[in-house]
Amino acid sequence: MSSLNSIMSIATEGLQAEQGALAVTTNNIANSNTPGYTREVVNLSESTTVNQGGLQLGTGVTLQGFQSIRDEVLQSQINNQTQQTNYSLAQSNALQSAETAFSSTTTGIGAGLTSFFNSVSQLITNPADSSLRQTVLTNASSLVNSFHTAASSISELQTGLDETVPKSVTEINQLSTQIANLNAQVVAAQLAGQDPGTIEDQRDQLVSQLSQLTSVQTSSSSNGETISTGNGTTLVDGSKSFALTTATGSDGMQHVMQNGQDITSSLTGGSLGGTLQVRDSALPALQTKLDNLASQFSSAVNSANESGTDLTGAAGQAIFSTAGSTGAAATIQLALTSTSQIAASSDGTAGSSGNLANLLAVQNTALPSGMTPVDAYSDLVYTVGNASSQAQSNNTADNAALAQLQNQQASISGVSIDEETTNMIRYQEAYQAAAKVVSTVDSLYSILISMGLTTA
Amino acid sequence: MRVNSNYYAQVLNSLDTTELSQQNDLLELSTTKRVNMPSDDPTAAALEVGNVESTSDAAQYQQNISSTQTMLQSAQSALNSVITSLNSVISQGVEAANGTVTAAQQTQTAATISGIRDQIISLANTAVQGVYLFAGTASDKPPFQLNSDSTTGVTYSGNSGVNSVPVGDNETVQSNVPGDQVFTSSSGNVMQSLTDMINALQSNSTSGIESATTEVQKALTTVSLQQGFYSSTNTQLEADNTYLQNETVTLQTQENNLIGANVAAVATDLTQAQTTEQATLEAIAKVLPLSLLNYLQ
Repeated sequence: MSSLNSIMSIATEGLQAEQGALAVTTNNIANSNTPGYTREVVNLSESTTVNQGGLQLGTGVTLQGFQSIRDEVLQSQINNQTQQTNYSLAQSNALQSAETAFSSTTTGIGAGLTSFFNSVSQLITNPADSSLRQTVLTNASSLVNSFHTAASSISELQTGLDETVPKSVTEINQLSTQIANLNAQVVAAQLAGQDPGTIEDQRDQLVSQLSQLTSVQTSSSSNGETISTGNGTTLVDGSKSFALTTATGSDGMQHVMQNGQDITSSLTGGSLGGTLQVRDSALPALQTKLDNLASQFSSAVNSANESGTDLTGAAGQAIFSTAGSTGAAATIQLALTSTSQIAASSDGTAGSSGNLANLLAVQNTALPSGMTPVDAYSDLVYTVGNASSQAQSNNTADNAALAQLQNQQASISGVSIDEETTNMIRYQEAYQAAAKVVSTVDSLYSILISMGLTTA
Repeated sequence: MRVNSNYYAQVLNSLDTTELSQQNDLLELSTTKRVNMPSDDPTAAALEVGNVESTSDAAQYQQNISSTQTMLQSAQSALNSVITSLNSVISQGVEAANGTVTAAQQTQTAATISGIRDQIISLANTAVQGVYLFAGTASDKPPFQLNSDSTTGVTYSGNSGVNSVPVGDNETVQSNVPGDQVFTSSSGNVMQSLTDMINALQSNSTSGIESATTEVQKALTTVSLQQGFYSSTNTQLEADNTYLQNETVTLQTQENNLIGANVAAVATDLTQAQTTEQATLEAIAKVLPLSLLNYLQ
């Protein structure tokens, strides 16, 4: 038969268990808005039964511990989606800045090319007129400025992106160090038989922050998580972290290194990957197109002017000068100093406009790129617009996917106040009931003791 | 099924989306452009570059037409005066050769015609904005000078060059006729015929006057022919101008189709986005207070 003592001990276990459960509930409520927090549930189990007189009697409840409700697969999907989202976000931000230099149809290179050719066309109506000649030079000069503006907006953007690279690398290193520290704590907790849920939450949160910067791969081992970049460069192995460094490369840009090896081109995801992609691929491609346009346009116009005779009867000379085809857009200059140097004449007389026709013909003649000057510019506008548009729509899609995954994760690991409130009531009632048992047993004891007194 | 009860992030996200959509609509309405950045529609933005070029070219062609017309009209009016003068010379030549005119009267007529020749030389040296219209491409100085040593009575310092002005894509018009085709042409030489007439009148040679009259008539035919060039070119330029005006309208329509905002549609969109935002806000206001805690007292 069960004794009052054993009932008392069962009630006490019940009180402790409900108290523990209430502690978990309180902790969940307190952390309901903590980023990265994973809700915990209390792990209760029946105590071992005892056999008394052929009867199996329960001996109460045991508080086994607390357990964090997490989905590792979902977490790694979220990390992956996070790096993709930040990758497209970095691209989209940078390319949106890049396209502003090519957004105006009334100013800039496109309008500048057209104005230049229009002023040549007008000069044909009166080839010796000095004010019309001046207009050609003025338009040529503003076209040069437009090339400079576009070229410097690209290179400034590139420099701006470059400056963020060492900052991102520093952040990656800080996160790696913190993750390595937490790895050590997780292992220590596991060895001590404790649930490392809280530490794991913090670590997951840090890995998630790391994913914002670059793509990472995680794998678990007995000494904690191993984290490496998308291409396999190890950042964290158990309690050890491996720092990345930056060094100025031969192109003048910051390169990311580990142990003396350049890993820049293999950093693909996250905001760092997006930044590097725009800095090293999208912007240089744009710059090359711009340089090609500047150098091919100027050489076509130059050779047209050189085939004529200027107002003084001298042979025509180059209208523009560039320092080679690389960097042509940044270095293009107006080479003519006087309005008389426009070689309008094809027969040596001042009134001839024969050579202006050659100059004007450049407008509708394909450059070596296969496109007319304005078409080449139009192609440039398309290229930057399309790249930016793609990055923006990728980012929209990535954001939606990330939101969905986060929603899914929150439905598994998030704290529901309603649920916790319900639990609280449940545990409270059970606690009250257990306490009632204690007081009941207490009164039973009183009866028992007073029984003894009356008999004595 | 367990659901994510912490939906504030989602709510915020959907509010952001509708607000962004409203901002875009407002931008489109204020600029009346659908494409404000190349990324809004890369293809349309690229085509718009070409459209702007064509529009600007069309405006330039119209300006070229107007400048050329000024030149052509001055040349045409100079030639009209030349024709009038030549007709007067012919009638004076016919009168001087009819046998009743005295030698003194013929000498008098020679002086009159000499005056007319000066006038015609001056007309042949007509300049507009510093450009001598009948000098070929050597148009920076007067092409005709009186020269008694020359058999034609004048020297021509111009050349036979012609200029062409672009008035359309792949279309140019000749903008001048060189003086040697108008005034000293082998098919009818104005200057030679006048000098011959003056000489014949001064030497009182009736047969000389008659043959000089025939020469002047041939010269008149040549000048009239060249005048025809100016009027036909003028007609062509008028036609080109009309075409360019139409083309400009077409290009504007194209531009509107490419990058213009459909104001009515955008305004509707904006209203819809506002309604959505309002609905979202109202929904939040209803849902956010929903918590079990509110019902447990």
